[in-house]
Amino acid sequence: MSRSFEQSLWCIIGAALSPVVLIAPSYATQYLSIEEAKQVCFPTATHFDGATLTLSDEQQDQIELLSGIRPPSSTVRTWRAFIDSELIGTLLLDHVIGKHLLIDYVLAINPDGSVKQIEILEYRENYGDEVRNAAWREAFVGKTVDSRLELREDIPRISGATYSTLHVTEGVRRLLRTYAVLFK
Amino acid sequence: MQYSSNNITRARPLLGTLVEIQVGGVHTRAAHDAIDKAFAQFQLVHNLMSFHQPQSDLSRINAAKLGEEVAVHAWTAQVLQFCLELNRTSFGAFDPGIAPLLMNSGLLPNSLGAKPKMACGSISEGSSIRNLSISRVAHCVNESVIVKKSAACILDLGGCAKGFAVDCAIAALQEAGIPFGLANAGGDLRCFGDHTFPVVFRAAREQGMFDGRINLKNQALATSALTFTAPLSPILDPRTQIALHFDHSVSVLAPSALVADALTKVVIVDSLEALPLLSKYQALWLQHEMLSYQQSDSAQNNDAVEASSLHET
Repeated sequence: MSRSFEQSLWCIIGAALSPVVLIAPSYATQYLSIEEAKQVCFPTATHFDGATLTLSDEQQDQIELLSGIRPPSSTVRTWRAFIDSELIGTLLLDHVIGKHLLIDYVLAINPDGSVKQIEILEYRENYGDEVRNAAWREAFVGKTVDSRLELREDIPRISGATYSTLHVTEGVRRLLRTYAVLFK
Repeated sequence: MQYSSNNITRARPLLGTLVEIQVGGVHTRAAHDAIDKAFAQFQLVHNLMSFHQPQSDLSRINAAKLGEEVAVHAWTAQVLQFCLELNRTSFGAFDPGIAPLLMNSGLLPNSLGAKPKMACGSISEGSSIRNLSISRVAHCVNESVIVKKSAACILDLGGCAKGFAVDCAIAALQEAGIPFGLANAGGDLRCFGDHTFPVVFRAAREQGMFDGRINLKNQALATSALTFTAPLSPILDPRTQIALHFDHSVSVLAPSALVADALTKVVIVDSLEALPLLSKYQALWLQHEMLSYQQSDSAQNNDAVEASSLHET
């Protein structure tokens, strides 16, 4: 991750000095780990039951029919949050890929099926082929809390034209249907 | 309870963009509670000022008949009052009343059920915020704000609501006792406290390229540029009704994000008209030569740009 940030910095310099620099740059920010997101979304939970659930072909068809979007994967990572034995909500992990960005996020859902909150875990802009390379994506997984915090201290914010978060909105619509199919 | 000496940053999709809130210097739990409150401010501004939500204050104003009284939230009134003032002081270069033009070009949905042609005698002909009046009405201990339209007035607050939401989020963080923090709504950002935040500028029209770097402290910064994917320009000259196509971005430093956000539009539309306004609002149009391109300018070692001092030079 820090390497990616260094690349970003070098590209900033490259862009300033020479407008014909042809390096494919990237910009990435990690906001929350899964563990942090669980605490942020359900701070009163006493425990979480995590599971990776598999959607059948029929279930994927149903989600696509109802949300207009086919699930990109047949598996869904979920955590059910409890206070002792009382279910207080469910967390679903998802990612959306746009032309130039990749966003990992969690959707927290109340027991009645309504949206509690959305938290972005990671946001990555990409302009080369690296986004399609799973190994490159996995390079972000497993960063320690310490290394991430150090990075947060240094990472600059961006001012300027930004990309729409329409993909996340569509993703949430798909996830709400996924939740209904899996848990209702 | 965990103590975080580093910054905690979270992001949510709000106002159609990625909103980041960064805080530091407090316990982790307090940081997250304050960030939750700051995000809630964004949601409230969205609910009040969205063109797309039929029940928002803005949509109710847009749908109102001439002379009809529309009660609005104090925040909506604050933004409208600012827009009226800027419309007057910019001699019309800033006007949220351009919404019908954006509807015509498909950049805003036609939610009013009427053909919003500006030149054919329809309900939106001559639409301008100048046709809006704002009055305060006292009810026992509470005061409510009533707005009325005297002539065509269909508004889009896309030119300043994000900046206002950033200001509201910053106020919420300060009220929560956060020592320093930053809110960034898709490039409209503001920071506070004894901390310097590095910011990079995305190069207009060059995907993935950055155009320089600045360190901010107790300031707001807004950048307006055409998005890479949009062929249509959402920025128009309200006086000529002509869409402005530009291949650069405009950045303004100001004490508040509302001012910075709105002034970027005035600079794009009429930079000459904008010059006295920049001075009036203690704002600064950032020129590229002011930006630092050095890799080693860590936040702690570089002085933040001071809008007031730069403006004098």
